[in-house]
Amino acid sequence: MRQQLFEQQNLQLWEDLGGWLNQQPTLATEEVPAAYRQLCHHLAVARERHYSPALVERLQQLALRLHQRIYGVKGEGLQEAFRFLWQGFPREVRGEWRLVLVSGLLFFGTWVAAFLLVRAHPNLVHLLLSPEEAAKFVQMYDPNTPVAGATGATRDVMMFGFYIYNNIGIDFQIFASGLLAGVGPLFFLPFNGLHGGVVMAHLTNKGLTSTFYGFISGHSSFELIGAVLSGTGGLRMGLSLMHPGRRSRLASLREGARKGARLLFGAAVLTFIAACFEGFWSGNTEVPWKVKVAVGLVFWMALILWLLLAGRRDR
Amino acid sequence: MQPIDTVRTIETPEGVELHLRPAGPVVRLWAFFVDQVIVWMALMFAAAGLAMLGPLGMGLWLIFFFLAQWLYPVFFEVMGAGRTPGKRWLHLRVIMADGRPIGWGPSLIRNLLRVVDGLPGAYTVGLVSLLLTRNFQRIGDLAAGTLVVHEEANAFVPMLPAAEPVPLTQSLTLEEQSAILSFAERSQRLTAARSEELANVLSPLSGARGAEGLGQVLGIARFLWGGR
Repeated sequence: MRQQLFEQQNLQLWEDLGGWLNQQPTLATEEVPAAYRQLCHHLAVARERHYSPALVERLQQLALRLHQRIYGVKGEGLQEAFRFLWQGFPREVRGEWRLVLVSGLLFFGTWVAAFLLVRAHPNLVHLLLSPEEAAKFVQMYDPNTPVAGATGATRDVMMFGFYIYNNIGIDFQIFASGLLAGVGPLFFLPFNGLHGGVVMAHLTNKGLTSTFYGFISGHSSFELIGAVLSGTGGLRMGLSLMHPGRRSRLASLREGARKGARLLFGAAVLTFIAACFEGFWSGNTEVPWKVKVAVGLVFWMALILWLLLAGRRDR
Repeated sequence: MQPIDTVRTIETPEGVELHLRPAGPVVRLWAFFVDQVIVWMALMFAAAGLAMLGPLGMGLWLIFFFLAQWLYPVFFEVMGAGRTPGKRWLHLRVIMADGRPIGWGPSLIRNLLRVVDGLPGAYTVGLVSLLLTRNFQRIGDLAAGTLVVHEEANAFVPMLPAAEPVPLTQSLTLEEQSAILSFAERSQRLTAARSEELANVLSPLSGARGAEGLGQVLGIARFLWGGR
């Protein structure tokens, strides 16, 4: 068949498809798949018969655009995201319970060990913190220290911004460095745990319980679990790369990165919630510290119960 | 398609092959540079504006900085059909390796893994990975299963120049016929002198040179296209 006749017979179809791509009502949506298959056939025929390059290029571009439209994932809406956070995320966490256990032990294990060690031998604090750093922490939580500079709501917003930038950024970094055979989380989790445990023990030794525990209890559950779970995401990715099993290494890495990123997404949201509490609730001095600790414990319980129980029914 | 071209061919479920053209390191570096300029300009303007608000402005700026640093490319890649402003400027687009548009998950992965691609500084790992992989993928692209491709030029529909169809006197292979059609479609974008010069190459076929030869070649193209 001559190219002219071919074009004449099929031009209408191509223009209809092009119009549909541009949101014009040239085709009903039900008609598109059949028309698209027809177009693919035309493209193959045009190539085989060596019709002019311009025509082949035109058909191929139209086919590519339709391919993207037809096989593209429907955008995950906001509702979808909330649904995932509420139900899918706890499921993913439970699905990776071994790695959650590993990263939890790396983080909280070091934390508790460091805490107990420094409680028993207060001088060990100087192995990790220089005297100036130790003194700075003490001064930060000393109830007699006047709050420097601005106070009230504006200062809260400043700290909130800082926590978002700093803490979620750290989550992202822990996750990404997991690609290096998991080395990132294997280093950052114990290191942060060590640091946290030492500081906590040091401040307890100095008798600053009310300010310190009052401050950290509110947001600690969200922030620490968020850090552990972003570490889990990084470990997942690194492990998939190192231990592909029956898949090709690349396919395994892709799958691991996908799962890891889902964990990270939830972890980042937890860290965001932590930043909200840390900025606007934890520094509040009007609520008695024992109430704040009680609220913090309730958060811990609720968070753990949610991760253990949510999303079990609706599969 | 020459073997020397960087073309990735994907086969669709309909059994037809589509061609994608992965973009190399230099053009991607330019796109990155443009994006960086945009981000830092925005951050500087924001800093100037928010400085008046004191600590409140500082907090807002830090949030803005966080978003710009980590999530700017993610947002634009998903909402802008695979194009950050820098990529749009250089006619690049991020898509999945199988030709589909990119979604939130893969975009998040490929952009967070810039941390790894950036090691040990100046995107060295990313550059090495780009040069070692067939489709110019950095580590983040490999993990997310994405490609950065040159955007298709707008599908233009060149018309064959009108000419009296000239029947072929010799048999031509399909490639030769295709070349003649291709020349005829391009000839409108060439000067008359250059067209004639090129048509002279075909004088054994057309039996004429100069303007007459060009007319003959266009006539052959017309014949190949539509017959008598």
